[in-house]
Amino acid sequence: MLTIKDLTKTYSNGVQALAGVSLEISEGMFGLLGPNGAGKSSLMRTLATLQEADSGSAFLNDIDILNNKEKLRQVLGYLPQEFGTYPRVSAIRMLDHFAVLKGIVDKGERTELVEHLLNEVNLWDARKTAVSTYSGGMKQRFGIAQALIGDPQLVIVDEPTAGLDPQERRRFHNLLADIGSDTVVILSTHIVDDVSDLCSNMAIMGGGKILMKGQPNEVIAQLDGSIYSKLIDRSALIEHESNYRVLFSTLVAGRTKIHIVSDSNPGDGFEASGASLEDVYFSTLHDNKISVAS
Amino acid sequence: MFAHIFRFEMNYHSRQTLVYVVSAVLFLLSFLATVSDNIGIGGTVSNININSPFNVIVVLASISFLASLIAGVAYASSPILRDFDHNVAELFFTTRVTKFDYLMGRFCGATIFSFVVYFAAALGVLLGELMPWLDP
Repeated sequence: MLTIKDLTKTYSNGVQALAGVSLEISEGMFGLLGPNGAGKSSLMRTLATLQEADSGSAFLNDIDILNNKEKLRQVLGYLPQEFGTYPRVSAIRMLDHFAVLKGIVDKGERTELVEHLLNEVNLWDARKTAVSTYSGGMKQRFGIAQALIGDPQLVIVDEPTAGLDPQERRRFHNLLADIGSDTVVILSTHIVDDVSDLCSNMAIMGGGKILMKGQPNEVIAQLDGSIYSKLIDRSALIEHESNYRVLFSTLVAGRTKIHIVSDSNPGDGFEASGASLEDVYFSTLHDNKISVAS
Repeated sequence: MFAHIFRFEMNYHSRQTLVYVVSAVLFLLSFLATVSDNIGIGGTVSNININSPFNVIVVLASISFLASLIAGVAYASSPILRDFDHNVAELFFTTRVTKFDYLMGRFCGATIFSFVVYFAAALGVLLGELMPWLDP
């Protein structure tokens, strides 16, 4: 169980990244959803002991994350938003190096673990290739292998699927889903599908605050029946935006499809549409007046 | 932990092209300075043996300036800066490695390897004096 209380952080340039974040995260997959600049990465980096918070507290079970960083690092697996590796150093050697740094000193045990992890993430055939030459998907899989060394109790993955093609994303999802259910896994993302596919609990973050938290199916059920959609011409978008509470617009076969939220059927060519997590996400941001470029 | 970081650092440097280029340059410099009268480093005196202690020390001392300027800079900065250059730092800083092991392991690995590079210069003198065409 990860308990975060009133975490705040203001950077020296005046940007308030965390404005009193409180969360309780139990074992299992937790999705943290938010637009770019919502404070997700600041929160992730604070929990990963990479930066300090101004005030507040964070505990993983009885480990004080903010004041006992060494202790947390023994049970932490972290996949940063962006990472690189050394040129000309093979994946297997790099992973072996990380395994030592994570405290797996016994050589036999380490070799076994590294082989197991490389097989798990399907990189065994590419084990002798330098990670710096990997494709995006392979690199992320290497990243998750690195994060899973030594049975961590807290796994933090920061925007892991950005830039992956659909097949690689699916493969990456399967890897995450395999992580033991007794582990706290925090997945930060701006891709709604990541959360609806994987997470049993979630929160939406914006402007450094937690705007909403709950279980995906419950929060979707709250909006069910009040979402309507309509196909319109692109030029009519502005007019619709002033008349209705438009959540978001997508393109369907070249035409613009808008989703609105309304208590009753507005007529005017709108059709009732089942609520999805995307509707929840955008209506939450909408309610909190956080604009998202779509 | 320290020993492993040290070994990894040594192994890492042994894969760098720079090591071999600098070693080759230093080797050639001292080798040529020893075997040829036309190439001299640090002002040699003509009527003493090319492998006299005086000559050896002049050649090596001159090269050590060069080595500390070229190789020294490359080696002293690489162990620390490369994690940031290659964006790996966060992966290291979230492991349980201590600051001491991390810094000292890197430092010692790099230091030993800069000795290795400098050793190429000494080897140049050593092999140079054995060349058959030299006046014994």
